[in-house]
Amino acid sequence: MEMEWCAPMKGAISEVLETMFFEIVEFDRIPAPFDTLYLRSSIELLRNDKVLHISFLATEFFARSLSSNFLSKNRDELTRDELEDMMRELANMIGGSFLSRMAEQDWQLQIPAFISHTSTDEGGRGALQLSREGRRVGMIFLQENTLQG
Amino acid sequence: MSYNVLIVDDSRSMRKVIKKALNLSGFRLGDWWEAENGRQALELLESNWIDLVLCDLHMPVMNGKDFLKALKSLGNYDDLPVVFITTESNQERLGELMALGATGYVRKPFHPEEICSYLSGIMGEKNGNGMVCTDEGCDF
Repeated sequence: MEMEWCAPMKGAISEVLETMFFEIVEFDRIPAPFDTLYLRSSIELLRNDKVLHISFLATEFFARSLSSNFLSKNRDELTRDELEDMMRELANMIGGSFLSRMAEQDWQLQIPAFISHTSTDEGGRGALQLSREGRRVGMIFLQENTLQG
Repeated sequence: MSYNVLIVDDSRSMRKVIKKALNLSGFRLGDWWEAENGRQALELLESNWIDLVLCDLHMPVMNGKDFLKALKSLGNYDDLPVVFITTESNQERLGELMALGATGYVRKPFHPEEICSYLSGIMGEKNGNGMVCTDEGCDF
């Protein structure tokens, strides 16, 4: 799972960011966790008893850039609600675009959620790092779990 | 002729972006209304003249599919175009929406000019940029 999700996830992120947020990012696998504070949104995909959990993390600086482009609004005038709403919608679109690139199409998208500031502690497993102009600006985590009966 | 549009999406940002896309792309937008979910949309339809509904699928309270079912059950809105703007890509689920009476769908993410081209086609206008869409939807 770990290897096969990377290519479709990169494609999904690039499509969403370039089409609706006018941003281009580069990708790296993360060798180790790091401690910067992030804004975080997540979305779950359900299929039978499986849950695919996608988390999108962005530095506040990057989140403001994305929101500013998305809403055509000065980055300093953005409200907290607008940032959170953009983060949820971003997770929604990345989840949908990722799903459209997967071999199995019968996963069901759930409603995205925003989680307040967080520090990453999930290590490098199943993670992609997003960089812009050489600066680390965000991450994507993907976890697959089984629903408990 | 301009069109009165109801945008149904639980994301305020996405509602704003859709409206901006319509304006930027030259779609002839008249009055517009916004709803956070299907239930609010049904209430707005009761008291306003609306020519086109642009609807998200995954929403709390009442999702797009349940909204469409409720709308069609009323019997007064058979000619009202309902276009889904959605991240959904599963053809079976999109097919269910079409079977329930959806006019079509546009996949997010989208380009403003593409959404205009598709919607103008649905509203019976000339397809401005010559883009080819299927009868059911557009994958951008």
